[in-house]
Amino acid sequence: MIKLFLEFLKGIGIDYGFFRLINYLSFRTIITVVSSLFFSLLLGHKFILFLYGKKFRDSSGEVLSINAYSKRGTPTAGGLLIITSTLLSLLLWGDFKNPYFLMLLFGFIYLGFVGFVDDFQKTRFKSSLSGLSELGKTILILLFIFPFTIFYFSDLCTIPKAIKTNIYIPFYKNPLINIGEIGFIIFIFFAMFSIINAVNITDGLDGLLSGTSSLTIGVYSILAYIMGNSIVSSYYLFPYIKGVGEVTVFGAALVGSLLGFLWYNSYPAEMFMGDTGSLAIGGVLAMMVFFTKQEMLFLIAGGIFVFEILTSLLQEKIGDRIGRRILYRAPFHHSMTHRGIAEPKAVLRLWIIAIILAAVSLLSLKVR
Amino acid sequence: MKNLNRKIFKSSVLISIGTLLTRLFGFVREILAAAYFGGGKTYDAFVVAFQVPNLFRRVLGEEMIERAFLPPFKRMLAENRVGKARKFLLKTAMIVSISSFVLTLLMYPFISSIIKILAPGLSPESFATSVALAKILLPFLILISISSFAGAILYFSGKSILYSTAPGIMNIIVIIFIILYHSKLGVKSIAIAYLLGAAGFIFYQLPALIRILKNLKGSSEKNKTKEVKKSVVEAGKILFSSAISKGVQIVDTIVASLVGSGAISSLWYSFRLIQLPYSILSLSTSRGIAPELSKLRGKKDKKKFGQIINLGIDINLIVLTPIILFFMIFSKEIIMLFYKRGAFNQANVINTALPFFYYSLALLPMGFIGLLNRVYSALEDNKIPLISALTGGMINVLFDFMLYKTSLKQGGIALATAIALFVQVIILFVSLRKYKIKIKYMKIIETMAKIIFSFFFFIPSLIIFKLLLKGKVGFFSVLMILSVAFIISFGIYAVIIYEFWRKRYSVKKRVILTGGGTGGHVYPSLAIYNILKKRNFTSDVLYLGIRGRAEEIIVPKHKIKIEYIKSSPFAGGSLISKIKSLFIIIHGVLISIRKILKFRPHIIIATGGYVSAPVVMAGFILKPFLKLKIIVEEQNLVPGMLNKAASLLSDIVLVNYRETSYFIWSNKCIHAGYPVRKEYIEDYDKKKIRGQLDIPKSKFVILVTGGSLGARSINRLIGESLKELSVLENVFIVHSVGLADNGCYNAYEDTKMILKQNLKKRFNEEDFIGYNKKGKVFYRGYRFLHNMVDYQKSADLIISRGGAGGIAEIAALSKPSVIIPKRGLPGDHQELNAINLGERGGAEIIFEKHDNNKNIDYIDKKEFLKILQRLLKSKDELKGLKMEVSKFYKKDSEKIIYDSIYRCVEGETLDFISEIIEPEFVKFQRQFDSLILYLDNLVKDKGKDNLYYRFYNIKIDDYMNSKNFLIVNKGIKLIGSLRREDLYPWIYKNFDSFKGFLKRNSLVALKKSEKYFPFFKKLIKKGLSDSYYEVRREAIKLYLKFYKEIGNDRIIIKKIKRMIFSKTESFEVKSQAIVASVIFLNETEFTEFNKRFLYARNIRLREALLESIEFGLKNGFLKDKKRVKTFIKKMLITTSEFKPEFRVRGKYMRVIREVSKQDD
Repeated sequence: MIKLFLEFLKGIGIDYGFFRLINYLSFRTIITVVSSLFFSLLLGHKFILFLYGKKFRDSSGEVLSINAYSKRGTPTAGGLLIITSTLLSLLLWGDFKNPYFLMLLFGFIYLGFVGFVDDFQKTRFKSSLSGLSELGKTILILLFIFPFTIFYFSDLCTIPKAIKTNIYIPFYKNPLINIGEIGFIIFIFFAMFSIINAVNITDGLDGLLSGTSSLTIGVYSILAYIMGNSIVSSYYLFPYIKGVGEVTVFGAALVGSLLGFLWYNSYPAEMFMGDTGSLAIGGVLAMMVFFTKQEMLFLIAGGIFVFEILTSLLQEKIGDRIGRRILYRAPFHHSMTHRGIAEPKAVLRLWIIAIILAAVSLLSLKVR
Repeated sequence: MKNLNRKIFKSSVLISIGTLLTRLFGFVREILAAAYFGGGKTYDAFVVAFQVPNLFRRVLGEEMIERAFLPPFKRMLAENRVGKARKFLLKTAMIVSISSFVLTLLMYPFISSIIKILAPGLSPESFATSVALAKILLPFLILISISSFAGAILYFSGKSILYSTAPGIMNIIVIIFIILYHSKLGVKSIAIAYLLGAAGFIFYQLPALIRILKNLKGSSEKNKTKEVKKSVVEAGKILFSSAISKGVQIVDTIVASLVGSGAISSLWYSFRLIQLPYSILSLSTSRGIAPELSKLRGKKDKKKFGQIINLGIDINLIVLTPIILFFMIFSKEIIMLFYKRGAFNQANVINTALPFFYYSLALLPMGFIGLLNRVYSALEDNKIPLISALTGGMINVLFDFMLYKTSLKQGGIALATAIALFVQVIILFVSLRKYKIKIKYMKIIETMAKIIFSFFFFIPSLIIFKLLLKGKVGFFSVLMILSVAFIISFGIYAVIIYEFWRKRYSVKKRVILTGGGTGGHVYPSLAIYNILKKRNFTSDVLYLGIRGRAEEIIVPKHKIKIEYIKSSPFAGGSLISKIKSLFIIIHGVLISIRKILKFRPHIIIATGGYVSAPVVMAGFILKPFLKLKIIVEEQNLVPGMLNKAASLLSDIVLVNYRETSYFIWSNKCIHAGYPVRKEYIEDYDKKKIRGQLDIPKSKFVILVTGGSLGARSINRLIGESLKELSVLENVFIVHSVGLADNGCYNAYEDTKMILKQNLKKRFNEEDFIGYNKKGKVFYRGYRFLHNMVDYQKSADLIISRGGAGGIAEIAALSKPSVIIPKRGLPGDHQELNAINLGERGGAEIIFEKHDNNKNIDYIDKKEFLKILQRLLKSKDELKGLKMEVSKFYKKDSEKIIYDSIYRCVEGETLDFISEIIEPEFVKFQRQFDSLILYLDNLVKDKGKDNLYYRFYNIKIDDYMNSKNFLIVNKGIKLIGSLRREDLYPWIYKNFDSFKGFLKRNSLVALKKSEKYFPFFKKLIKKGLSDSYYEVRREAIKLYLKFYKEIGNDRIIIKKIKRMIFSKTESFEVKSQAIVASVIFLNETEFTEFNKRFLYARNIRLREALLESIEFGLKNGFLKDKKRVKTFIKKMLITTSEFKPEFRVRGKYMRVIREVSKQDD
């Protein structure tokens, strides 16, 4: 909004001196991180009280009984904090004329809402089994992917037409294959749905998702920055995509508020993000992946999520049919705790893996 | 004080009238200005120029005086410190006049730059005109601030007529001047006119003012500067808020100037027009609401506040919404009518109609803000209005910039204003929460619904007139059509709204009862009705039911009018039948709407059953139009699907069991208990009743009932055991067979047939089936017992279903009973409920069994007879049952029901169940393992003689016969925890065909066995070579349990050894193998063998090693403790796991436990 205002001032001939800085993406990115971090730290405790008061309490396992060894009854739907602080900071620093930005905003809020409905049902109907049905959730997510696909193929999305349907793989300059429009539409549906679910499923240990996802979002934000800058992108031999730099600002805001959320969510958690948070984050990640045209890089940058969903699917779709456990526990992070790795340790190890994966994916910038 | 209030009230009315007149004159002024100067560049220039003296008008003008000067001044006068007041007055007058003078002088050199800022988009020629006009207009600031100061004093001194008409005088002067001079002086005439008007303003007030000042003489006192200081602070606040509003105005002008020429004046003109209805409204609210609010100043009557706000909202909504619609639909015509003449051309009309259209939207929030600001001033809170104004201002500016470039043009600026005002309203509303003022949102929605309903007639009439206006341009034709449109449409609207508002006041309430299908649903609704009737709460009553159901027979007996609707059960069945029943329900809703509209009830009481669903829905739909409350009663522990949904539409849900609130979707449950009819509570004489019913007085009377419809299994049980019953001495049986007569079961005929097969001799077959023994009757079977209460009272033992109603009635009468719960209900809730009763000794329980071949439920005859004989023998046992069952009766249920319904109707607060209690069976259902754990402990502690054991023993068969392996899995788990040794061979037989989970659980189940069976050994061998690691693990565990009996089996030992060595083996198996290794290895071997695991990377393996040593030490396998010590000392004891203990939570739980103990 500040940017809009300053642009207006410039339009009527008022020079805004120092605030020129806002034209620099790097400046806005940094200040966005700081301000969203600030907002989420500031609002954190209030949100905990608010959610607790509104009876948004985790209800898995024993209903509403409190004991010294479990975290049942911890406020959930803390994703509202993430969403609020992200939005507040974006309201200040975002460029509300950028189509990518608006699409991200729409997806972020919509999926957050879907997650909230799920959380609401879980907490209101007093059992973790009574959330949205799997089918209902699937439909609601698909309802988001549909307009996204339209956006992606419309003129609003400034990715050059020639490369829109290309699929790039990391560490390789040229596009691997052009799968055509229909092929790509199928690809979008499959990939987005998987990514959103993968991120959703990773939310199982305190601080796991908030830590790992901020790394992945960070990687994609850097990519978006490079692609949105004509000079840097030509230096790194990436296609230049006009306007995609704004994705960086969005990513930065989300990273900031995720870190602020982690402040409260780290072991032992004072609140959980619930589906409200995980679906919203998943949605943003899925969109970033397509906006930066680095779909396949997600296998590395979001390696943790991919692995988690694979293990979970393996157990759910195959294991439960044939009547045996394929992994010790699924998804994978439960397997870790089952092996005797305490929760904070498991989370930290997964973070370390995520850092390595992030570093490797950043390596793909230069090694191509 | 009263006098003062009346005075203030009176003056406020006069002021409103005065303001209205002033506005009217102002409006005439604008009409003339439009005619003379048009809506183009010239008037733009004037509007901009007029902003200049007005920049500081609010700071020095009316509001300043009203808020900063008047309050201390009033106080001083009230305290009779006249001299001080006079001094204060003079001082303030000085400050005001000097500062306005200085300001004016200061602004002169900067006029052109001020105008540049105010209107950057102004064309050069307009700019020049504007500067010239501003130079003339600047002294206006001095004049207006002095005159408004004077006006305030006049107002306070009771000369309110003078005060409120003074601006009108100014307007009249302006009007006269521009009429006379507009042709000579051009646009300058209006500037000069304003100056003259302001001067006239002062002169008009002067005589009265001088008189007042003379009266204010008195002894002079020492002046404390406190008052002045206070007013300076107040002035600061005003400065701030005026900066906001001025800021918004300035930005509006700036942006408008960018839109193009004519935009500024179009905004100006349209805004003037909008203010007209607003001032009418402020008149009406000032009569109704302002005095009420001023009474509340400083008091803390939150309820009253809420009422007043609700009233204000209603008035605003009712008056403003149709006006808004009217304005929006006829925007062009209205502008044309008022302004189009002279220099104001058609282009100007279109230009002005655009913002007018959007400004209309702002009317509603304007009204709300006026109301809420008054509320806040009564609450003595200036902060929140300020904050809301600030936010609104910011949003206004934001949207200005966003919208002006769009095709909306200056309309966008008006829209921005409307949006900002809406936001302000929201902020003001939300902040009311801080004061805990409860606004009835339902009432607002109700009002809106009424308005929307009347719009169905209002809008079409507007549209017709709009069509009539098409192509008409003549002033008079438009005027005529428009005024006719106004009168007719508003007439229609007013009639409809009035019709709605006419209160049909009656003390007694009309009630609709609904619910049924079975007697269990009908009786509670009658009981509630009786409770209400007893307290004179009801007048008329109507029962809505379904033809051919229990209500058709029961309700007319109670002299209650019954009408019929349609409905159909929803749960179960195929998709097609579901769709079909959906249509039937919709049909039922329509019928119910008709019936409800005709009856106009105040309360709808629904007691569940699918009958009530359409009635509740219809009631919900009609809720905004009729003032009715919906009360749902749920007597069962587990509500049906439709009742769960109905709870969301209801105002309160009365529940019989506390735990029911777990299932109800809404949070409005009240634990009321079961409303038994009054007959159950009265004292009675058993012998007398028996006499009436023709029952032998000295016999032991057994009443058998399966509910109003009858229960097949109970009927057949009685039929089949009639011979045995006839042998029993001194027994008399009354059997209510039931009304069931559907395709597959006709209760009466079927029972008669079975009775015939068992015992030939009968004596009666018409009204009832009767059997004799030795010439005396001992059995009577009825189709239906109308006076069930009497039979229940006369009985010595009742055999009944486990429904909520039946149990509550038995408890109220405190009768010994045998409960036969119905099988296969969701979550087995009737059975588990009966277990709850039986465990506490309230009744004997018999569970139904399922015959798979015939696919029917039946009751074990032997079990039944055994229990019956035992009870007949022992009087103590009967007494015990009597004692315990009466504890299940909630005595104050009647009072609770009446209280909550009364409070609900009166709109008072209710105490809903706040904590959620998860019923035991839900826990069992949700987590089967917790049931298994419970049963494990139960069987271990109490053995097999308990109800849970008996129940799940029957249940196992269901599970084991299932085709879904996950359900068979449950059966296997049950076999284990119930120690069903007879089924162990079944497991052994089927072991090879099991899937992984089943094999694992089979072994887990067998491990619970106390006895060793030879086939265990074979199973262990099978398990050890299984491909699934969990099976191997459990096999070792089983071996560990029975190692003594198995002895040294080579194959087993070899396999386990191989597991320890294997590199690919799962750590779970390995760790068990390590534990087992201590059994068959000697000490040296053991230490040698397991050395590797001292440093095992996986912590579970090291844990297993420790476990193994512990096990060995305990069972005497490891005797050389020294050796073990040296062995274990080498072990790596770093760890990666820990068990958290959240101490605060632990303490919290302990405290809670302690507190709840005291509760009981």
